[in-house]
Amino acid sequence: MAQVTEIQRFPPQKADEEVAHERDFVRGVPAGLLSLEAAIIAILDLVLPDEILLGTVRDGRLRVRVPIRVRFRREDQHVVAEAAELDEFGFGANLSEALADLQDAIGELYFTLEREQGRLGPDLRRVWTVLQQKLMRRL
Amino acid sequence: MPVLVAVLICDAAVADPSSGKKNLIGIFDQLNVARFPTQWPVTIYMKLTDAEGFYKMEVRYVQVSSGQVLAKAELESQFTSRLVSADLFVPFPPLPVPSEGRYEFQIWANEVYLGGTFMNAVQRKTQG
Repeated sequence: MAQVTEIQRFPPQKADEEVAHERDFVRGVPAGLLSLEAAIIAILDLVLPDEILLGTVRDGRLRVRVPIRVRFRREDQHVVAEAAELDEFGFGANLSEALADLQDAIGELYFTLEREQGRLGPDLRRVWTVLQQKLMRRL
Repeated sequence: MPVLVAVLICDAAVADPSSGKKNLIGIFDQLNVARFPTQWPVTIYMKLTDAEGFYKMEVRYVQVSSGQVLAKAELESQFTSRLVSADLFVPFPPLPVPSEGRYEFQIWANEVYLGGTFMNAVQRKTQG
């Protein structure tokens, strides 16, 4: 395999030359940082937010139009993520796992209800209506 | 809602001064640590699209096992059209890595969770 031993910078382009890409970076600024000592002390207990707004599901075919409200609670050793308006839950050992499980469940629910929409009872019809407001298929 | 096209952890993000093209140096998702606790500087690169208007963005560095937010960064971004995308980066100072485990960089826009990426901190194996 060839090895790169030297990286050369191209000479600056002239004004009439094509430029493939010249959009600027947007730079973020660190706004808060726990010290290492504080971080060690802070991890003694599991921290759970009461609720968050979810702006994505883990399915490339779907896009979130309106954020989904997700509540968290602890049950024994597990974290439960609940999207009450969709009657859907996710479970995991921590918030990240529970949220990912819920995202997968919402994606599956969307396609199941879409497929079965002609045969839904009143409760599932309501959920399908909410899902259509919240999510849309990518074109 | 903005769509998070990509989010990557790397050592540095720089724009080439002649072309403006972005270069991400040293992309990684695992930190091999000789001794915990430790600290490590990282840069987070994000690409967003399908957004219009003003967004207050936030990057939260979270220890997954505890849910504790160990650091965060803020940035503001103005999108003029949903058809364009934006490249954003956050150069964090050395971040606390208190113990072995999984750490998540969560991306939020106007208090809505858009997704994230993970870094695993593992004990470096000694040779011999």
